[in-house]
Amino acid sequence: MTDMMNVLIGTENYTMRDLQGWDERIRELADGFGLDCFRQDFEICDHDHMIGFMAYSGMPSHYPHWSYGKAYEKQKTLYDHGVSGLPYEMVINSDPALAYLMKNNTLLLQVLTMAHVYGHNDFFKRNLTFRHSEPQQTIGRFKSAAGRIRGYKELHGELEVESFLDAAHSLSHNRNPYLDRKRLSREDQMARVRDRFYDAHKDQYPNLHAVARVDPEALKESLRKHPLEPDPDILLFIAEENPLLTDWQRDILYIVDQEARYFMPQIRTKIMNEGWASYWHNRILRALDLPPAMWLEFSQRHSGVLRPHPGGLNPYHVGYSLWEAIHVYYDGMIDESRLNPDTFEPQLFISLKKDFEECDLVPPDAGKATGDEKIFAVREEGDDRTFIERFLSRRMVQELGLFRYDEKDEGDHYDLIVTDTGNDDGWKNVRDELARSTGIGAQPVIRVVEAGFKGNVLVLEHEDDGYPLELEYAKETVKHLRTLWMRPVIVNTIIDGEPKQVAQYKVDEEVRVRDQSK
Amino acid sequence: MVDSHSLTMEVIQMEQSIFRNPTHTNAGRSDRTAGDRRRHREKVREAIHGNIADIISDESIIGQRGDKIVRVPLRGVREYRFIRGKPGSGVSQGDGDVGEGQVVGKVKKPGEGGDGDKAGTQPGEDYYETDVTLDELLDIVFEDLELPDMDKKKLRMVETKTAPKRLGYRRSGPETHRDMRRTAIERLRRFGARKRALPKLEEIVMKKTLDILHSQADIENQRRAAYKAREAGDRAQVTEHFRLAHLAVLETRRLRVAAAPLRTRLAKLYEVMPLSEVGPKYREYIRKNPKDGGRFPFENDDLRYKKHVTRPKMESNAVVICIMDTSGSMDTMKKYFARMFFFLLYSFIQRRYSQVEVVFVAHTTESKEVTEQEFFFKGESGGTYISSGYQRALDIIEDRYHPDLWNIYAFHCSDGDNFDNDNKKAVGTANALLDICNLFGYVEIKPKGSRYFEGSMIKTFEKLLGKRRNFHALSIESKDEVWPQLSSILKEDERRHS
Repeated sequence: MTDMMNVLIGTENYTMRDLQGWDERIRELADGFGLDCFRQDFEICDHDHMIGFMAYSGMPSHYPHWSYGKAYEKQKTLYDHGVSGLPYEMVINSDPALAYLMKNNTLLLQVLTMAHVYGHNDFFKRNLTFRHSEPQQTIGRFKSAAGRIRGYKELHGELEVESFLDAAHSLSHNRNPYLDRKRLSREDQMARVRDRFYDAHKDQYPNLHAVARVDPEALKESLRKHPLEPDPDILLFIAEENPLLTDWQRDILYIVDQEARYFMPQIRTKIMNEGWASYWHNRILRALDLPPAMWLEFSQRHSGVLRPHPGGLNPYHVGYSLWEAIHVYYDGMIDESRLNPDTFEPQLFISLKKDFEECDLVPPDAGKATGDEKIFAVREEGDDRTFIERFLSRRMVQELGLFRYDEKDEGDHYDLIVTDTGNDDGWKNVRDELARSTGIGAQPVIRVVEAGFKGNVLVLEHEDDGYPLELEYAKETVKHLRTLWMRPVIVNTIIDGEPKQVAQYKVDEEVRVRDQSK
Repeated sequence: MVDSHSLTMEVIQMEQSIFRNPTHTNAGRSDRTAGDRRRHREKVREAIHGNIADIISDESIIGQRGDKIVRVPLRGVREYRFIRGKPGSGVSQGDGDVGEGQVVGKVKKPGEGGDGDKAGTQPGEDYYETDVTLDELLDIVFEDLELPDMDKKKLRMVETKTAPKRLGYRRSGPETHRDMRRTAIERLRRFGARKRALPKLEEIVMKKTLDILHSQADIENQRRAAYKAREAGDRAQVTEHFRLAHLAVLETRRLRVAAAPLRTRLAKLYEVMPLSEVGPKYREYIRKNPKDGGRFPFENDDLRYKKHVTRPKMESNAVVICIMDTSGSMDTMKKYFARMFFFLLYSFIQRRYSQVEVVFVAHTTESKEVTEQEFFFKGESGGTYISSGYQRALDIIEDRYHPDLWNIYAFHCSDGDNFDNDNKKAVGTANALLDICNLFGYVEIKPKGSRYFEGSMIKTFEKLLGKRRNFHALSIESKDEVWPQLSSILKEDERRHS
């Protein structure tokens, strides 16, 4: 075994022992900077395995489904045609955290990856969004789910299980994205309805108004509703409330929902998380005292990671720039003896200070906390939405080249028309749109509003956020909903300003779109 | 406002990281994506199958060459979710020169030019259709169809291509065909043979060695005898003994040469690979690990390859007669349907029965045999005598395709708007065709919305010919029906047998 440590990895001139040496130095630095990580496991893999891991989101064990084969083929095609390279890093939120290092990468790339991975690791452990993600159980849970689903396939037939999985997958994103919000039991919900009812009728100015009374009929009506409150967890609701499901079908719903739950924090913190990891790989590698050749390669790779994606949005770039801005700004605001001279950039600070003042973003704790203190506090606090709302200023909008666009109907196509850029007051619209549409923000909110009445019809409501549903997709998804509920399904939505229903009553029936009043 | 608890710097050292290199210990781990990729490919194929009617009713494929690329929508492999529709809005990064009001991109509308339900560029999904060549597509389309009721006719047989089949193994071949299981068995067999050969060979070699030793002893004895004779002064004896000694030397040499290969073989058996035969690195390795000296490597003789043979399948010879009404009442739409029908039929025959002959007949009130090119691309006008087309077919058959020797298939596409005075004759000739054809198909094309007072032959034919087993009357109302109707005829055989 000890001999293995000295065997060269891939075609590059380094061994496992070399990697361990670098890792030790990186860990020491990360420790010194104050990063707080789970134990980190690294696994060496080749590029084929890497594509495989990507298809299964990095999970060493995952249940089989054709969609992962599709993801693999797509990745491989892109990679083989040179459209996209492979990611340098792939790390999963588990305790211990697991990351992959690709053979044949240069030594610098491995060092960069390791440093980057420690940034993610710290974020997984300390960010509030991830607090309830139960990382100790991640790998075991995926493994157990894989075993169970394989078993169901043997028992009930591949196709049977596959079509049920297809249906469950199509609704997996329609769940509550906040892991810390507990799913309430019916009793708890009833208590809440009662409270709300009495609160609403509590009159703060009884002297001014005629006395309002709780209408017992209305309360009765409200308590009879099922669900009591609109339920965003569609899969869980079906699993709990559909008595026609067999055990294995119910279990599949829980499995698929669990997996979606695992990904929610990552979706919600993409910009923060990638930015944080990039920010720390930069600081760690700067502190590593790299030999000149490696330094040169690092500068090149680093700017590659942080280059803007015109026509898209590079979360690494946006996140990194914001973290850096926060750090420099806070360091600049405190007295000079406490700031970190290694990372402080006076030029940047001056323009940031002006910018924060002009944009009315000056935080109350400016001048009290150092840059380090502040970024560690912020990394603990929120998700992308709050992060952007709090710290994206006009200067950053301009610097990142961000703009807001509208899709305008032009007959046979839509034009993407720029509505706001970082100039004048437009930056606020850009910031708000980004905060609103980032992560799960782009996901239509659809909740279960009624079930069990009128011939066991499941009624869902699409919250009107000004964006219509993609109708063809909605129709197909309603079919999947019908499969899971096993009885008629109706989705209320707005199409061209008119309230409409997308409904399927019988299996194999066309999905119909009609006026809601009917 | 800074959270105080986050400022307490961790004093506890981070746990030691662990590095694993599983590929090193477990070379070539199984490919975990294999199953899911296989299922995905199956679904792609299924999706193509499910869309066939849609795809091939597309105007653009008629008369096209096989290498034309056809775009096939793959609905089965799309993953549907509730997603935002258009028009929407968003935030994007630019190169810094973006100004308000500027158009920075275009998104195609879904279903442009279609009925709004057809696939278009959908958001969130970038991979939902695939490009295949017309050839590949038709291969899939015609996968499980064949000409029905093919009889064995007396004379000529035609070859139809069949896919190569596995048949046994051979000692050389392309590396991709190497059968490792078979090769491993060969190696074991050779190993066993050597083991069994060892005792016997030892005995033989021992015997030969004894012979050599005897022969060597003989040399010695003769020489000694010669020396004795010299001392005794017997010259003749000296010469005689030296002669015998010389003969013994020759004999020994002969025995040695004869035994040499056997001894080498034995040596090989003892020490499977003599050190002199391996490279310096391996010799060094053996020196350090003497136990490993007994390895028994694969040799070229062990390699076995799968053998594939293509056995031509013999079919009876057959002719397909395509008869098309090209009269004035056959408007563009009808002609298009008819051509689509014949194009599919023709492509099918070309693909599956390379030796089957195809005859094209076009008729108005008169008929003539035409070339493929004329048949598919030339328009005509005039009245309609269906019987003229049938008569031409009968003439051609009498001329060139004797029913005793040929399987005959006739298909006729018309709008059924025949001149009344021809109906009787038409039924008569159709009857005559049915007497000699394996199958006669009458396809009446009545697109929806065509004038209802137009005549129809389908009833007349069905009344008079409906009982004949080899008669098929079909009607096609829309382009979606062309393929199902054609395939129903070609599947007929299957149904009848099952």
